[in-house]
Amino acid sequence: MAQSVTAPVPLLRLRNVARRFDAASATAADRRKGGEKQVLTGIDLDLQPGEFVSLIGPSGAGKTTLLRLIAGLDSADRGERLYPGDAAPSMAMVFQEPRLVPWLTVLENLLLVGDATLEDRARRLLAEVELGGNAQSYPGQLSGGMQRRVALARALLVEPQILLLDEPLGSLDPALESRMMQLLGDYWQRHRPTVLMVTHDLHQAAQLSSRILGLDPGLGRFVLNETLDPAQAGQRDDAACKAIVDHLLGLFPVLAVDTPST
Amino acid sequence: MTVGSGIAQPVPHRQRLLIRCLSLIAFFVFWQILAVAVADPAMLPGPLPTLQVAWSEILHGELLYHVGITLLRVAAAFCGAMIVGVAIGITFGRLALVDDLFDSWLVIALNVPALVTIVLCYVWFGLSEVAAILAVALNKAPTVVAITREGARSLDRSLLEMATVFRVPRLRVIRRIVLPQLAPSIMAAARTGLALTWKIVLVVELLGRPDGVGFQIRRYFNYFDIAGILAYTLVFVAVILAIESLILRPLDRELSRWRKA
Repeated sequence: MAQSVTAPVPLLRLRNVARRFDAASATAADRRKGGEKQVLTGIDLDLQPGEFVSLIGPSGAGKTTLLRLIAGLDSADRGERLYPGDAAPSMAMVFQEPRLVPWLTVLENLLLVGDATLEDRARRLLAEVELGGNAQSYPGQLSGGMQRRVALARALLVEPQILLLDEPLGSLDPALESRMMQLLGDYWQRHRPTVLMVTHDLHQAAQLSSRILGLDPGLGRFVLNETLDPAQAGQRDDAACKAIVDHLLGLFPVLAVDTPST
Repeated sequence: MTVGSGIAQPVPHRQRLLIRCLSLIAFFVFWQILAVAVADPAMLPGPLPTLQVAWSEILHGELLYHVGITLLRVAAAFCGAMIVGVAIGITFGRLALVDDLFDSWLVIALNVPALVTIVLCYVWFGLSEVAAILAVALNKAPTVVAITREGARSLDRSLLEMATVFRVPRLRVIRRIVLPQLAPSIMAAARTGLALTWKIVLVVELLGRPDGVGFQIRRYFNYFDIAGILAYTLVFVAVILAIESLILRPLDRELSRWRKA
């Protein structure tokens, strides 16, 4: 299943990155999220142009922390974050919470990160996430699941080079989740941005990814790096996904504790 | 000054307007009863004689001129205090070091009696217009700083992080994310500030200006003309109430429209 890929220049490179939160330095939010101690000890990662990487691991393994380090929202205690290309790549992120601006309408929220020339595209994306009729609504008028879809549309609007997704499809009902996975897969196949998606859901990872990374909470580094056929990403049927999930669970049994049955 | 702010039960608009009118009428009735009870028009004239004096001063006297002068002073001091106070308040709220260094200065500034600032400004800068406006602005600014600081402290970090990742231009972040969050604090500072400002302006005028409502009140005080004092007060309060309800309150409603959506 693993394939070796001769890589072009990566968009982003992490070398020996470490981040530690202990009881003294953890913020209240950190403590709420994942206990008082989250540790990344030595993360090496090359994000290649056009790959869809899923980051899996049990709660508290530091997946969100890693995403925040890559997004530049947090600094590492040690190690380097490099952009081997010419310039820092453009990024967009879907956070665990929708993070919509409550006093702006849905459409204004999208155009906040783009500009007025993107209005047609914004409306099209809203239609694609099945919220075409809600452009003038305020976020407070939408359900949690609808807000998450607005956040997804916002991230897709700017056509980023690196798309960071932190559990983007959590708390959607199964039918909608499946349609949004389809949307994400199609979008990736069409535009080929580099995606790094944190997910608890092995099935999602198996369905969408061209590479799957597993983060071990005890060791604080990757213990799994599985490359999958990129042509199949987003297109795999249930049987193919199940085979991948079983394979992953064989390599990384600690995930079984946390994983919803698929 | 503010009547029936946001926390009230939702009452239909027309009903609220009626309640406000009735309340205002009740105030004048209360005044009339008090005047009858005192039974000395020189000490406490009733509302009607006071209104008559006000009307005749408007038609034949200099009431409008003095009210206008005072309003200009209120506007200058109010705008100065708001601009400087909001800027300093945001700095206090966002930079912990500045807050730690200068918090005690703010506490001192908040507790200096208005009269002391006024007298010192007149002594240092002479009985001039600049000294008068500066004295009022200096009295008002610390309150604006304190209120704005609270707003700036509670800015939603998660939205600022979102803007960072998406590289939203700085000016757009300020206009679309920061200022709307500060709007309630700035409005609160403006509404409490307006009341405070005009009261201090009157004292400043009474102590050292040759015109304005404060000056006129002193003149009527020298003649022991209570009706004149009350007439000027009544007209000026009416003007301030009009500014509050025709400008500040609608502005506040407009800024918080999204909350009701």
